[in-house]
Amino acid sequence: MCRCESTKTVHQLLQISGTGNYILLVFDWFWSSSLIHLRFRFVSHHQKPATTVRFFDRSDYYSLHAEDALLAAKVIFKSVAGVKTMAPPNADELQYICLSRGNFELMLRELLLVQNYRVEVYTKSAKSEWTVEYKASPGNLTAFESLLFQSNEVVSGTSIIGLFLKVEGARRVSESFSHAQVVLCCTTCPRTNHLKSNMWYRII
Amino acid sequence: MTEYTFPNQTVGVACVEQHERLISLSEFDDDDFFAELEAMLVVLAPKECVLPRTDGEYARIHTLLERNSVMVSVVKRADFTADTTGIVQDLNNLLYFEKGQQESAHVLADVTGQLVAMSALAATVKYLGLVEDSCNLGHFHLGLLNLKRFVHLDAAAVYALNLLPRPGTSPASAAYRWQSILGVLDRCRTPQGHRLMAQWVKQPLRNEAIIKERHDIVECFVEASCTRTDLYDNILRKMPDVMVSDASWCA
Repeated sequence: MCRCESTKTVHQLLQISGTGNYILLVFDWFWSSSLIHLRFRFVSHHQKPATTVRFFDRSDYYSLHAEDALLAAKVIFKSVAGVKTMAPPNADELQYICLSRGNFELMLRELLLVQNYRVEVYTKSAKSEWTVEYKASPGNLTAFESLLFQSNEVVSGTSIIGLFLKVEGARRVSESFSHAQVVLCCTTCPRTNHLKSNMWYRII
Repeated sequence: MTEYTFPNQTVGVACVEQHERLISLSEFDDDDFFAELEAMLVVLAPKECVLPRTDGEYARIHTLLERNSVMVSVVKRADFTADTTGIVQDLNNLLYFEKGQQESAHVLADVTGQLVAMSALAATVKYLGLVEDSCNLGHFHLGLLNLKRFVHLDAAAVYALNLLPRPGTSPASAAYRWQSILGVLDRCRTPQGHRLMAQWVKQPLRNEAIIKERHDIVECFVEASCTRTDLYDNILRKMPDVMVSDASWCA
């Protein structure tokens, strides 16, 4: 697995894998009728959340970069010694690790079923740009279902909840007890947490 | 005389179990500490939660979810739409209707009337992209989740009682079998058995009649030891994970 990436590819990988917020001005040039045109493209990338791990599909193996590489090394090889660095001229250094197909499946299982990470798999499109092909999160495993549930051993359920809160104005509660009565009220109706929590402050 | 003002907050929860093809809704008034919600998290044990935001009034919920190791995914506020026409239409497609039953989610008015929970469901269904996958259509069941049926447990209680093994331990390992209540009880042969046992441990029943019924079945197996060994050693060994393979056959 030779890792001689061009400067441009490393830039791309760094953008996608890095946790930093990148705003990059990419300009490339091309010849046309003996004139050099400069083309500017504005590329901005949202910050990668620390809970998302990005894999790059290189058809016969997968690579991970920057923080993700360190995580994979720790999970799969129990050591960061296998993490290598690519440093092409005129580009920042980028750490990487390569995973075989088997290790990729192991890593997926660990991330999605045990450690609760989101996973994105990037593939190289025809225009040699990396794009997201598969996405999964602990509650939404559909993309990797066949991989994860091959063995009969995985048993965990995958339920997901949606939660919505509706706050309506404010409920007014008047307090007109003597302190002794408040204590009595607290002990007799332990389910009204609102009252309890706020009234204890009053007593103290 | 002092006056206090408390926000009157209604929590709507929609739970989607993709393998069991089950959607359950629940809507309840909760206090500042979301005690009821925490009990619900223990009962449902979700892996992920879809929220419109993680700050403001959701800040407390966010900390609660993190404490219960539930992953939070933020989606657009607009997905939690109050307009139920879209989600009712999705439900019409997703739900399984008995023969002769009117094929419309409106017949389940007691469920679909829970508007806050329906907003949550709309966002969850969109997030999962359930409607896009034709395998899902006409297979889901919709129901209400009634927390009163189960013993109220919070995360601290579950941890202190050693109810569940550490996540990720394989059911075959010694750490699973001897280091938690679930592990000691769980001698199931099939993956669906493991899941059911986990559910029973997380959802202890309160109704005496139902507990008795469960015990009667256990008694039946205790007495018929031949049948039990035959089932356990021969028949159940050959059972695949029906819930999962069901989905893969369809695809």
